[in-house]
Amino acid sequence: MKLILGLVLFCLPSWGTIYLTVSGANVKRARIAMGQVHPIGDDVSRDLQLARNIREQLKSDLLFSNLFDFISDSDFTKADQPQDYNKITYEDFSSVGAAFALKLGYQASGSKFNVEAYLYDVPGQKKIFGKKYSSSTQQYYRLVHTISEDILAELTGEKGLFTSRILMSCWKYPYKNAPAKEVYVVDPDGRNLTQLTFDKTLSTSPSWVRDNKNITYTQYEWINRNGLRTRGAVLKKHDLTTGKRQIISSKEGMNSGASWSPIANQGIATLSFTGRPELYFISKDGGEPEPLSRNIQWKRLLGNGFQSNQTSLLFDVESGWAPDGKRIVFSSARTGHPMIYVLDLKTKIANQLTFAGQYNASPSWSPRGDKILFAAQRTGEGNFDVYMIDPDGNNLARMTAGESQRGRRINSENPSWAPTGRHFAFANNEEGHYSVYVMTVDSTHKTKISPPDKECFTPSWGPNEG
Amino acid sequence: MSSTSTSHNFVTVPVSSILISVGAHFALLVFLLSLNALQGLSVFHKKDLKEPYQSFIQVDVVALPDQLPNQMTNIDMSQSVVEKPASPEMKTEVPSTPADIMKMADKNADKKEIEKRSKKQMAEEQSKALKRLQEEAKREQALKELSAKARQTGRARLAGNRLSQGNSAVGMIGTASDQYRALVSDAIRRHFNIYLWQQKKGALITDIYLEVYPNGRVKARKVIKPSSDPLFDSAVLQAIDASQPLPVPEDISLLKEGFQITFKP
Repeated sequence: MKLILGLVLFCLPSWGTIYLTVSGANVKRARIAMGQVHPIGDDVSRDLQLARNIREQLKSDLLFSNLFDFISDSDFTKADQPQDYNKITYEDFSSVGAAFALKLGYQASGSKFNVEAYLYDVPGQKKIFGKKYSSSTQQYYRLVHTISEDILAELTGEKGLFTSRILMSCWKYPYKNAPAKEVYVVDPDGRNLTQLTFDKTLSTSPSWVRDNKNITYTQYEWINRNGLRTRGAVLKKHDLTTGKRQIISSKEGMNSGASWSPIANQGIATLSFTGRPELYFISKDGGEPEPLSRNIQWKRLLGNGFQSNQTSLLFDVESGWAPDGKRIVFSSARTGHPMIYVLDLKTKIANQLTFAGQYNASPSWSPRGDKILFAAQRTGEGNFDVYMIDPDGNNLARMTAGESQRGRRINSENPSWAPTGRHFAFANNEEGHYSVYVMTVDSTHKTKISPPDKECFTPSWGPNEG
Repeated sequence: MSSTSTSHNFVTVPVSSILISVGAHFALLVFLLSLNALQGLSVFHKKDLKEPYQSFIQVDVVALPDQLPNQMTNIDMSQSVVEKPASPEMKTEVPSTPADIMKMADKNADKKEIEKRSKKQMAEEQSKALKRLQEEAKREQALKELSAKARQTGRARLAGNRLSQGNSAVGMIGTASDQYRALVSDAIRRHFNIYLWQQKKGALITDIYLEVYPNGRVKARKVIKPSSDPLFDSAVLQAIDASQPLPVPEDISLLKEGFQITFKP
């Protein structure tokens, strides 16, 4: 009855105010006109090379952001005279189709310099910001990163693409004998590589504690366990501000793959002291780990090994946190092949997210919450590629296209999201040895950020103030 | 055993099931009607036909003799139509201008019959017929212009099961209000351009109040509820300005109370 009444009411011709929804807009890159870096005033020494470097770096940053198209310089030369570095005539820029105009000036004196940057909304005829930046000439690129960061923050509200850093684990390449694997940190553009560990052992799977100063990694070292000196993989915390280090888990077997909650002083690590690798809650201050895997209720399980008691299949590893801190994503083999699962930490209910492929591993949850990246091997002989999926299991997409030829596999592994959710880092061996690359989510830009004399693995992109 | 259980099931069919059944039949009816309408649509919109209202004109040509009863016996139009009703040649002969109509009348006239009549009567009748033909052609021309205008403004045409072409409303079934809203929303969407970083679902919503003149120009527009991004709000306003003239409904009194439009990426 209600249905029929509803239909009748629906068909009545009385309109009143007409309510509409318009969505499905055309999405495009913003056309930006970036002016030359003009000298400010006449009485300062000019450093043309510096001006060129600033502009090149700024352009490369904005290209890297993958949000802009540049308007050809020659289209607005007249509108970009040195005396106009801090002024704009909007018509000159709207006539060339610019959505934004960026005008720049610099002053150099000795080893110091200033840059003034003005960003304009051309169709809206508004100045978005005008700022003055100061720095030493040697670190000009850091100053430029700050300008880029300001532009992006102002337009997109997102932070951290240029000021965050990436952890990775590298050894010397080419190497002889058993090399030492150390932890490094690097800027997202590959600059500023800094070695963090010098332990001449294997230091692996580094990750960021979300307190802006600590990192954790797994290190193989000699430890004293029950009066016996044994070699084991311990989980260590490393304070980047003081250099102080502390073992936070050194149980028998593996203490590995820690990931840290974005909202609380809580982490999840893979420990294998029971004989099989399982997930445990850990604290950055150490203490007894709290079991997680054995309390999970499994839903939607599909596969050969379902309900298997085979120890080899009962492993849960490589957790990654959702940005709300309420769910995690991890890899488990209990259906026969390692697959990706999403676990609600409150209800402890785990849903199987992936069902295809031979081996799905190392998931990473986007800081925006809407996507999960993981590495997957399609067949037993195949290579690993990075794939992306929605947390509800929709929109599975392949992000990298490696291959497996004549026994050589081109793998893309260990994806890790940028804090803005538009880029990710991953390890790839297309050059024969593994290097860390940064790629845009639309797969249009890929940049190698690890040095040629090192083989690097397991990147972990830090939070925005990292 | 089975028969009792069947009858038992039959007796306890809940009222809601009957309602669902009624609803489903109604939906089926709507679906079938819409299918019919869509078929009609595909005929009218055949791409190879330059004249969009071909069928209308064919009907008019057949009716022409009725309006000129004196020449009915002389100009046997119906005969030629019956002989080759669906041939493409016939279609090319469909007159669309007064000159065409005259040419066609000449071709088909029985010359012997005409010679029997007095020249005066002939002239009188001819001028009378010509006048009527011209009036007819004029009416047709006006109809064509009207329909062209309707196509341009994107107005929904309910008569003849046609919708305007080239927008997402084609094939939609619903009330006149639904169709009109779809037309307006589509017209604005075409000019709604946003930047990559604004493509965050659920994050940006702007509500606009809009008043439109009967000619489709914007009378007044204002942001009732802005989003968190001023650039998104200005993209919304630019979309409205760029989509002028907006489609107007058949009954322009419906524009009286204005629009409230919610914009999302």
